[in-house]
Amino acid sequence: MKKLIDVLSSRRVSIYLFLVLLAVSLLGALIPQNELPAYYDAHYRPWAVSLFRTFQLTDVYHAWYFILLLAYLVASLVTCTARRLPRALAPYTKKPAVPPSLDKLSLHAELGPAAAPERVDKAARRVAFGWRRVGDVLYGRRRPYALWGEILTHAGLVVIFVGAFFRLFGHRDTLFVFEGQSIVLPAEYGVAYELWADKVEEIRDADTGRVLEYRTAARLLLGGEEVAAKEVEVNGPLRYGGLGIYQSNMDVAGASGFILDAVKLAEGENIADAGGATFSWALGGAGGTVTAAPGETVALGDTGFQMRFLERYDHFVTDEAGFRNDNPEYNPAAFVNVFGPSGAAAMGIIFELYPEFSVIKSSDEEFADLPLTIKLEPAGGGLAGERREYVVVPDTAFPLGSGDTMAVSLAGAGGHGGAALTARLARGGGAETISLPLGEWVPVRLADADYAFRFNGARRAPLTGLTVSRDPGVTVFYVGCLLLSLGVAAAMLLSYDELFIYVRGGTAYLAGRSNKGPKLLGPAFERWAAKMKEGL
Amino acid sequence: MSTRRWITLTFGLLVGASCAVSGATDFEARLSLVKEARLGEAFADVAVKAERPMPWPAFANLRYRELKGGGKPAGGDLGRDSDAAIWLAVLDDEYRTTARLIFVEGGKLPGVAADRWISLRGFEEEVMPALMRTPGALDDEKVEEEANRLVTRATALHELSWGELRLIPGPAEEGWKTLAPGLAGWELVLELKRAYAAGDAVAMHDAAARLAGELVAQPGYPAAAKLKLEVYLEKFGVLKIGFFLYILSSLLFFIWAALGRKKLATVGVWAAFAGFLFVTAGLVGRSIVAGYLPTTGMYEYLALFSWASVLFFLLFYLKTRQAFLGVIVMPVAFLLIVLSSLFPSKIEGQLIPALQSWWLTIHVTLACLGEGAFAVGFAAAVLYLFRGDKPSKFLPSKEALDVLEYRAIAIGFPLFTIGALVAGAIWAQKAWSVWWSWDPKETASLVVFLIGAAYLHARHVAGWRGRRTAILAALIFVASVLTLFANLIFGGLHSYGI
Repeated sequence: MKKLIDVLSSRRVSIYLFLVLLAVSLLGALIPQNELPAYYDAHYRPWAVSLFRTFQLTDVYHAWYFILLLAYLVASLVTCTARRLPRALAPYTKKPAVPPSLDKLSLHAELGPAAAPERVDKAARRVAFGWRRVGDVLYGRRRPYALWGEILTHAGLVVIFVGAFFRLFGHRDTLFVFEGQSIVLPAEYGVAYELWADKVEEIRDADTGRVLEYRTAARLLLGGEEVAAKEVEVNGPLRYGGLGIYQSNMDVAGASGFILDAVKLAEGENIADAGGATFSWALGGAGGTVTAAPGETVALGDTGFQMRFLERYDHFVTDEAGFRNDNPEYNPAAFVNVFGPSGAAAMGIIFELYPEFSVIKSSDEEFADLPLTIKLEPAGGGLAGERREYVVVPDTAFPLGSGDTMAVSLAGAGGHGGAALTARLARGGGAETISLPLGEWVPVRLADADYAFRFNGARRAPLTGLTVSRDPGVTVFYVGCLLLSLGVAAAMLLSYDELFIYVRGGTAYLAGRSNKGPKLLGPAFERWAAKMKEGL
Repeated sequence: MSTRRWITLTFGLLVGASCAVSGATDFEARLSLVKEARLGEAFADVAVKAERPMPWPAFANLRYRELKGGGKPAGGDLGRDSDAAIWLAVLDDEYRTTARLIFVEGGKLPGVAADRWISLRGFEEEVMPALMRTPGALDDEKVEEEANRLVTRATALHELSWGELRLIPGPAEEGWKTLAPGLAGWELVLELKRAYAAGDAVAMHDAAARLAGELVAQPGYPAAAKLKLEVYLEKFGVLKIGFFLYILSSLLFFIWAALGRKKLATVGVWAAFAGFLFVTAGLVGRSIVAGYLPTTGMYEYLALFSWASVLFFLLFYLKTRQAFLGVIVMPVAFLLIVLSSLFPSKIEGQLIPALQSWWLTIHVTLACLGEGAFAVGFAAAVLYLFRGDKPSKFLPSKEALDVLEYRAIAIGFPLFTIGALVAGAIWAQKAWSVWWSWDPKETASLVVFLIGAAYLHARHVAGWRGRRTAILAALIFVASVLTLFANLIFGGLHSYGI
């Protein structure tokens, strides 16, 4: 055991350890780390790649030998700290060790004849050193706390390593959220926080165009209750309950997100009602919104005109064969009849996405130059329940408001056009996977009610990238930083100095020593000796 | 070889290398804080600060194209600045007449000699009539009306006394929206706009002067005093003077080392001190203009590094009255300034979001001070390595050099550790959520720390002295200099610092 301690606290070994760590760190800086295997194959000769793989040189900082070196360093730091502790405590706990002869001290100077002890005391006090008598020697010292410098430095480094160890139990992700949307933090963060990005801003200087700030108005919710909110900026994270949320990425021009329409079905409402449609209309100064089930005729306000909703197509296409519902593209349209006050009829095709192509045709004069416009409103058809539109990032769980969460990914197969989403629904009790083909309403039972969900294509929307971090070691790390800073400053800039005044044969002599060595104390020692000589 | 010959050789190499780099990179031009290269020869003596140096031709061309295109401006005529409304320009009093130069772009104005600078008067007398004479499918009456409007505008500008502000209206109403309704000064913008439309030079003058006062008081608009300071810094070339004084000081030390005339060393120290004052004034002025300490980018960092090296040389001189360190430190200092000239020197005035933190100042300043002290340790170590054992009039004993070397490292090491590593790691935690990520610059700083730790352990614990520790001490400084370039070579999280 003693041998092991000797090796761990060996001064020579520590110097070589620094040099080996230095060499390995340099290797890590020179060889690009954690690139894909193809990168190394493309940029290095085969023998070099083989060497890299054998010695884990493509991930040096996580290689077993590097971790071993760090572990050795920590063990060595702990041992050295333990060994130095008694020496640092000695000035407070032990009687000063006064050498019997001043020859034992390399710094000494003759002060002159010592007529009376009081005179020697008075001369000594010209230099503030906390003088006292130890035997027949006048002993003074200053800054005994300087001995703690090295201990604090070593302890600080050990504490930082401990912080790094705790960090292994933390988690860090960069998560993306569209403006006005929310996500659920992954299970690794312990509690299912909802993270909202209410506003995503890239603030630029009006004149120069330089980016001044990236900012996300973020809110953190737990169980539906807001627990923290902040305008997160670079250098200005949101902190709550051990979590840190940092601004790390942004795309205000807009990234593509999947659109999910959700309707909470009203009492007695059935998914079959999704076949209905909602229209907005305008005629002269009048206008409004009407919802109709297939085959239903509704009045257009008090205008005397009526509209009959005949059929809805989600994938409308027309050719010589007539209307069909198998357009590879999602192209919602409604086939309607419009009746005038006198009973004259018109036929209309109303498009949701391309309203400029909508037509209302009639040969009757009552419809000639009639300023009637009808628009097909998006989503949900006849579903009258509470609606919400989600813009979602693939493979990122988002809250559904009912306590359930969903995460979607694009699947190849689907109804029309081949596009569909695979949605993983996580409920309190378990998980379920459902398919959401493009444009089709799909019934989904959530914790609080029945819903209808529809994958409604993709849209560009402002996106923010927030790094979420839970680092249990961060406070420990800060403590380590404080200790290291205090320690290194004290160890380098302060010295523990001792002075001794001996009276031998009627002559007073000054001797001194310092933990930094006699050469560094030399000039100051000469000044003190001169000052005391004057006072003697 | 004797110490003196070594010094002569080293110095000669440093001077040669510096001159080569300096000549190759047009050092003087690089030092320019405010000149715009594209303004050309005619503008060389004119101090102008402007992001858009060509508002007049752009404006005139845009109006011309508007007319030619039937009143609709072609998209992108002014590039990203198509809706630019306010151009901020500061002209030095002395140059205010000549500064009103207008660049006539090639092929944009038919009948006008292009690609050249002309005065405002030349613009009025030559370009405007040519514009009015423009033939083709244009509506002559409209062109004349527009040209007259431009002449009125030019005259109105001509009448304005020197001020900090030029206002150039954009192509449409929205062209005036740099100031938004509700903001201070908006009413004045409207007033100015009305005066402009009416061609009332006196009212325009009055509104522009008051608006200038409002604008400089707003965040984002540099104060007139700051801009004036920038102009004066450039005009007097304080950094440039400091640089030449460093060269002079190096030269004096070099001659002293070669000939042994002690008076030369004293003058060398004074030259170093004077150079230091000029560089300090340049850096302080730059900080006032920019609104932050010169701690961003390679240009600023290298200049600060040079400053810190001379600072510690002077402090050590004051303490020990030994000038010989200047033989190494001063050439290193001017070499660092030469290196800085390789990088862009423009004052941005706005920090990118990642750098908007007090930790930037703490991190960079302390690290830089530490490296400045390492430069002095390097000088002592190099002199130790080349000093023979014979007594020397020029150099102190090897023991004294050894102590000096240690004292410099003992000051530099805590400053570097706290600044580069501790403050850097805390800032990284605050900004990136991770305090250590083996970024090339982090690793390079760790290498400096490890060499420093090896040096201190070798000295304190293993009892090494002399040659071996001198080599380690010199290596600390060499590694510090290499650290500066780690992000340039290997990229990483510090890559914005160019």
